[in-house]
Amino acid sequence: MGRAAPRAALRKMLKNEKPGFRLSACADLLVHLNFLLFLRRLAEEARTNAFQNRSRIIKPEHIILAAKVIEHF
Amino acid sequence: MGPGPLLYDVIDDTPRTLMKKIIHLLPPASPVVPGISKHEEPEVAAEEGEAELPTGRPSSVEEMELPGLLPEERPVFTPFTNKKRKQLEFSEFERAVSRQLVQNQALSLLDNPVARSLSMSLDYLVRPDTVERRPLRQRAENRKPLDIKAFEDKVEQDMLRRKAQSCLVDSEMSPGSQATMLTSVGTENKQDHSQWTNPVEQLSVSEEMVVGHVSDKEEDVAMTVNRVDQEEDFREGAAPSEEKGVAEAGVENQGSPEAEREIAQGIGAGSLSKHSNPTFSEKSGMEPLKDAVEQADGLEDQAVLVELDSLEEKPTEDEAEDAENGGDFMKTPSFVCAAAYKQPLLTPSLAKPAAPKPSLKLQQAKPVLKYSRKKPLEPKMSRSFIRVFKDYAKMPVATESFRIVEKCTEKYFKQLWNDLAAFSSHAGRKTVEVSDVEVLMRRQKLVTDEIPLHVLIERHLPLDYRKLLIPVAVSGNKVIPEIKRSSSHRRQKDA
Repeated sequence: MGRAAPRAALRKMLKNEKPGFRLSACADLLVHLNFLLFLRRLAEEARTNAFQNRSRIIKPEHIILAAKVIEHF
Repeated sequence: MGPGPLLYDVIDDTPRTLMKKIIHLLPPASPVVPGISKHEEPEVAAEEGEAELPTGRPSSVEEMELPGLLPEERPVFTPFTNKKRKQLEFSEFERAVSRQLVQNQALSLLDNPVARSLSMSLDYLVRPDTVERRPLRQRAENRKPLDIKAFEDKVEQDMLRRKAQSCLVDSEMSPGSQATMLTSVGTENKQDHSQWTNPVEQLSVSEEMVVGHVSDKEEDVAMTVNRVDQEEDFREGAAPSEEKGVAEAGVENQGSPEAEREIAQGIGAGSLSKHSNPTFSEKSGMEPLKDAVEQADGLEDQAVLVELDSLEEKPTEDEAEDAENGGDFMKTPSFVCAAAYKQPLLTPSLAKPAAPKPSLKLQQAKPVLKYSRKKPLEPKMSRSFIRVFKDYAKMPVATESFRIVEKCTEKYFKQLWNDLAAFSSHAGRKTVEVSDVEVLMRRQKLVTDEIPLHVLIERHLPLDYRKLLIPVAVSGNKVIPEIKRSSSHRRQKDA
């Protein structure tokens, strides 16, 4: 997965939500890393849910369940 | 001797005992006034002979002092306050100590820059609890939406008042300035100013006609003549109603939204002037207005919209009252209803003219605008996360589920930014640094003692980023990227 991390998009996001704050140079890469790891956790949890429901595709319900399990929400 | 070994030698002591020691023992340890420490020692030696720590003599002496003091003292300390010292005394010894402390304090504060600096540095040492216990502070809520809206409302009201006053006072104002006033109130107009000047000319003309007689201009003028006849009776409220009349002329003429805004403004201005006249003048004014509106069918929608917009800009109660007064008429109900129900109608109508509106609307229409602003960004993000998600899932993923994933990521990012902002502001910074993100990842249990951050970086990020993030030692005593010593390190060294 050699994709470019959308650094400018991340900085704009932060500007939208928290206007006073800025992202330092390498912090946005780490934020991207955080995001990737989050997606990974979400995907794995969704996959587990799909297996439990004995379905061959990941459906929205699985993902919602997965999101609830992950501590943030 | 002196403060050095006393303060810093204790490895086994807890910070609390250390603090207590410092509070009680600080002044005697001044290097410039040696007599006092020596003086204190025999007194202390006379006390209990316990030695808690096998350190040097002075430190053991002072530590012996501690257990003697401990049961009697109350532990809340702000150092160097004489009052508390007085409260804590019980024994003769303690009184003597306190006397010495006071002396030393006075000395240190007045004469002794060294002791003072010492005391200051120790002050820093003494307070670590409070520093550590300070909770994470979130940023203050931004109260922007209300403020801006109130401000702009006030601005609009001021302008209206100014305009009304100027119309009332100065009947011979130049059309240009009036045009500028009118145009300034209606900010979003992109149509010709020539269309503005026409009603404005009418205004000046009709004003003259109040004094004089018929003008030689077009049908609009004829209308104004009618109106003037009616309005001559109401000289006082003439000016604002003239505006209305002129506005009607404007409606007839161009059917421009500006003119209708002018109508609304005229109504608003009329409301600002004396209230006795408006009903009558409004009625007379409204009739030709009714005709005018009847003529222009397509104007109605615009009228409603514009009315709403202008009303939204100047939500004065007077306006509503006046509009309701003229509620008898057929076509005017469009205005009236709009005015009367301006409150609930405002918010849905706002969604439509979202694009060119000033920031006032921006705040209210924030969800709409923000989404639309994010949209050019989000597709960039979403394409990446679709691919990433698919890779991680290793299973076919339904397309609807991607929308859910997007929602989840939005929520996630909001929390993420909140947390990062909280961490940075806790550190007194406005820039989110690498350390903040690291703390966040620790909290999320992504980074543990077993999985350090660098491992994660190596696993998931492409090579270029790795080079940026992980310092790598290169020959020639160079480290890439450079590790900068932050100011926080320096502070620790000083203490």
